[in-house]
Parts: sequence; C-alpha cells; structure tokens
Amino acid sequence: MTPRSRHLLERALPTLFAWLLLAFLFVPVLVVIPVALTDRDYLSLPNNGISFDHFAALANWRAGWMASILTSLGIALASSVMATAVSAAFAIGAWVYVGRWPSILRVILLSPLIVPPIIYAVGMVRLWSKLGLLDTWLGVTIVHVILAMPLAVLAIGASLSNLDPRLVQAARSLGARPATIFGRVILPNIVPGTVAGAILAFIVSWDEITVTLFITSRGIVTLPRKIWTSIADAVDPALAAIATVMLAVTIVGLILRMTVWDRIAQRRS
Amino acid sequence: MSFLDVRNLRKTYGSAVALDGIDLSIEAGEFVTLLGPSGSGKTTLLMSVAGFTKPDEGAILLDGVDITRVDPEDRNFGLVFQGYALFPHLNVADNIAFPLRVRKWDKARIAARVEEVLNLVGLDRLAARKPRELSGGQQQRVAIGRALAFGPKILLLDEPLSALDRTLRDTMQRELKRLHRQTGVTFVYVTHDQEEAYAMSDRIAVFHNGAIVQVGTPRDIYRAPASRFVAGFLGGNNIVSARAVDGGIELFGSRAPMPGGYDASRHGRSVLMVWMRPEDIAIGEPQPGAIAFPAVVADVSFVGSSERVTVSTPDGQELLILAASAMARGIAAGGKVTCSVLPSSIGFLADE
Repeated sequence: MTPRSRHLLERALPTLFAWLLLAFLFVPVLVVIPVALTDRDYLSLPNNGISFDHFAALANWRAGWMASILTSLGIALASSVMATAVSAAFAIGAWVYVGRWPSILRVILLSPLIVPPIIYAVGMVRLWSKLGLLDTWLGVTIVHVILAMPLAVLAIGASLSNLDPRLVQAARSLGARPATIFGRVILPNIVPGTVAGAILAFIVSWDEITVTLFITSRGIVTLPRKIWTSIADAVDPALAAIATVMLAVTIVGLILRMTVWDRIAQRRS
Repeated sequence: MSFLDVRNLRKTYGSAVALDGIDLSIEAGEFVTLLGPSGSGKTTLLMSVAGFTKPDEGAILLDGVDITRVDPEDRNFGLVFQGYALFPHLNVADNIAFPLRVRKWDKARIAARVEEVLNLVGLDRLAARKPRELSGGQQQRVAIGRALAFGPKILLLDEPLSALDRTLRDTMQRELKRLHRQTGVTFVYVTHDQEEAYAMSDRIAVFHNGAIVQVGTPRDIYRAPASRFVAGFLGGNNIVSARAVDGGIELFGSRAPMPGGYDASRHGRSVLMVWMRPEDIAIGEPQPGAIAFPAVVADVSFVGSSERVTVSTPDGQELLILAASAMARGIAAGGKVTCSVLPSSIGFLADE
C-alpha cells in the first residue's frame, strides 16, 4: 500500500464520512432558509429573486402566527415552571428518604417517556371531556407539565446524585430548619441540573403536538398546532419563515450558552 | 444525675434489635468512646443522642431534662460524620460560619468566631478554599471546626478518622485530644478500632449485639475484659480452654496451682475459658513461677518490632505469641519450643 492510499484510507475517508454525516443532520434544516425567502406564495425555492414578504406576514396579527407564538410561549413557560417545581420537590424528597416508595413513584413519574403519546392522548381526551378541560389553557398546561416532568426529574436527580444526602443531617445538627436547608444547602448545589430541567421542560411543551392536537380545537392554538393546520390546509411559505426565525433563536441561544455561560462559570470558580 | 443520661434505650428495625436496653451516663467534659464491631448498635445510639433516630423506648436526659423528643436542630450538639458532609458550594470559612448564620449572630461576631475556630483547628491559611480543594485530613478539620463553632454542649463523632491513612489517623487522634482539652466540650466518639479508643478516651463503652457489655477506663478494659466477646474483640487475645483439676489448673496438658482470680461459681467447675495476651507468653527458659508447656511452631511472621509466632499446644489448641525479635531468634516452623505464661497473666472468663 502506498503512503498516499494509506493516508486516504486512514484520514481522508473518515473525515469525509464525518462531514457527510454532519451535512445529513444539518442540510434539511438549512433548506427552510431559502424557502422562507421565496417570492412565490407556495412552498418553493426563490424564482425571480428573494422576498421578505413571508416574514412580514408573520408579524401580521390577523394571520394568527403571533397569537400562536404567544400561546405556546405562555403555556411552555407555565409548564416549565410547574414541572420544574414539582420535579425538584419529588427529586429532593426521593434523595432524602431513600426507600421503596421513592423508586416506585419514580417509575410512575417517568412513565410518560415510555407510554406512546398517541395512547396517552386518547386517554386524556376522555378524561378532559369528563372534567370539562378540553380546549382550555389549564387542560393543555397540565398535560404539558406531566409530559415534561420525566426529563426535569432526570436532570434534577442527576445533579442530586452527586450530593451527599447526609448534608441534610449535617445542616440540621448545625441548627438549620427545612427552609434554610433548602435555600442555603440544597438549592445552590442543584442549580445547573434545575436550569437544565427547566429548559428541557420548556422545549417539551414548546414543540408538543400529538396530545395537544387531541385536546384542543379552536380555543387554544399553540404554534406546533398552527404549523400543523397550515400544512394540512395550504402550503404557506410563512411556515418556512417561522421555522427560520426559530432556527435563528436557537442558534443565538446556543452561541450565548457556549460563550457567556462558560465565562460566568469560570468567574464563579 | 449525670450530664447526659441514657436510660433503657430500645430501638428495633423490624425483627433486628439495634439497641437492646442501653443505659449509659456521661459526665460533663468527658471523652467517652462507643466501641464495637459494625452492627453492634454504637452508631444507632449516637444517632439517637443526636436526635436523628427516634428510640422505641427509653429516655435521653441532658442535665436532667428529657430531650428524647427534641428535634436535632434544637439540641445544640455538634455532629461529625465519617464522610465529613461539608457543604460543597461553601468555602472553609463559610462552612464554619454556617451554624452561626443560622443562629443569626451579627457579622462582626461571626467573623471573630470563624477566625478563632480556624486557628483552633489549624486551618487559618485555607479559609478561602472549597472542600474539594482540601485533603481528607483538612476536610475533617473543617467538619470538626464547623461542629464546634457554635459552642455545642456535646460533640458527637461517628467514625471520623476511618477514611484517613494510618499516620494521618495518629495525628488526628492527638488533635482530637488537644481539642477536647482545649474546649472542655463533652466528646462522644464512635469507632470500631480499639487502639483509637484506647488512645483518646476517658472511658470506653463496649457494644455487642445492641447492648453495652462493659464500661470502663481503657486500662480497666484492657486488664480485665468482662466477657469472652470483650476479651476477643480487644487486642486479639488468645481465648483457650483449660480444666480445673483437684484444686489446680490443667493448661495445655501441664498442671499448676490455680491462679488467683478464679471463682468456681462464676467461671465453671471443670472446663474453664481463659484468656491471655499474645505478648504475655514467653518462648524459651521459663520464668520462676510460670506455667511451662511444650509446643510446636506452626508459623512465624515478622511484624517489625516483634515476631508473630503461632504454636500448637500438646492438647491441640492454637496459640498466638508476640515475641521480641531477639527472643524468637532461631525459631522456625516445625521446631519444638518451650513456652510459659505467668499465672498472673491468665484471666478467667465467665461461664456462658
């Protein structure tokens, strides 16, 4: 084997393969950008130059995109806060009181990860119609909290697993009461896991579609539901515009996470 | 009435008895060690005194006041854990200040006290370090300092040195004794290591199966173990059987006058259980008055200051001897030797 072909086999080919894999992951996502800039009024690539009309249409209140974004944002924020609070309470309790009950409860809390959403949705429709919660803010938020809790429990549980449960006994022997122990001992040590849990819970709610489709109709139109209906009705390029906006927000968020956050973390330690 | 009184304390976990009617009185300023193998109940008693374990029966009195139902946060006892349990997000000074901030001391007083405690435990240079940046011994000093900072009435220590290496353990033992002397606080110390107990304690309470089998000063317990368990658990004594014959003793096939301390009603009338220390048995020319017997060497191992010699006796028992290296010269496995033990080195165990 010549050194050249050896280099090809050991370095160039794997590198090429890695780039291809990355492209496969990213190109379909990036395709939405030119589509969003199309000058026609259906999903297509630009024909005679680019146009920002579809971005302008997003801002038009009557098109309903802004309302959906606000609805989704509100539900996702509420779900995230509630799911994080309940998950933190459970995770801390399970961490302090080791035993059979915490592990049984944990399996129940994690079950939404295992049960297919479609089956869950069928059950929720029946229950919510009995309780009059179909197509209400409360109904959707409760479902999103339940669906988001497994990830929040896992994230917060992971940061607690590095913490010695005897810190609680130590703090009590030093005279601290529950509120002080929570605020000054447990919370400062689980901030990273709790933030991660809150973000994951937000994302779960933000892009939840399956169950939401079943339990909402005209009253609550979340962004995923709005996208879904507009694809079913007409192929409006505004879809690509909203996808582009979300992509931009995500990339900005990632960049901030990688630069600002790390700098803060460095300064703290 | 003592400073701390534990009265008939009982605790069971299902069918397992952790504390089987514990009575113990501790005086103010004492250093008392709860000594026993794991699962003997010593930690359960410590946790009951700390308030984390609720006993099923019995009472704990502090200065005559029943504190059995008082929450741990209201007891004002310092507690030092085996794994230190330092707050990982706080530096050394903030760990020590924690109990003071909880008690809402004012800032100047906290700063002064933290300074004082840092000096006391020898950590004044490391005040700004986080626990993970400290060695095991330094972390243990922080834990002790934190537990002493608020001026506790009693300091409870749960095997605090077991995670440290041997030399560090020796240093920390001296440190603990110094802290005990300097602060005058009552120390209750749990360990399974009898050397640790001997080195530091004013008194030792020996635990076995949830009960205290003997309480006394280290020297008392070393000289006069009250039971077969204490004799065997402490110092690896030889526990062997002998016989009472015609008013004398038959030990390893040799007859001798009965040693003092024998009481037929307590120690049995024919078969006797006796204990003797490995370092009290001599090899070679017997001292006058000693009980001599032949033996065959089974094994010799060098342990530094002395040789550990295992011999088998004519009546088929095994005996461990710690012999000064000079005395053991020329001894090898399979060799025949003469051993001897003074009657005063023989202790009788109660007939169980």
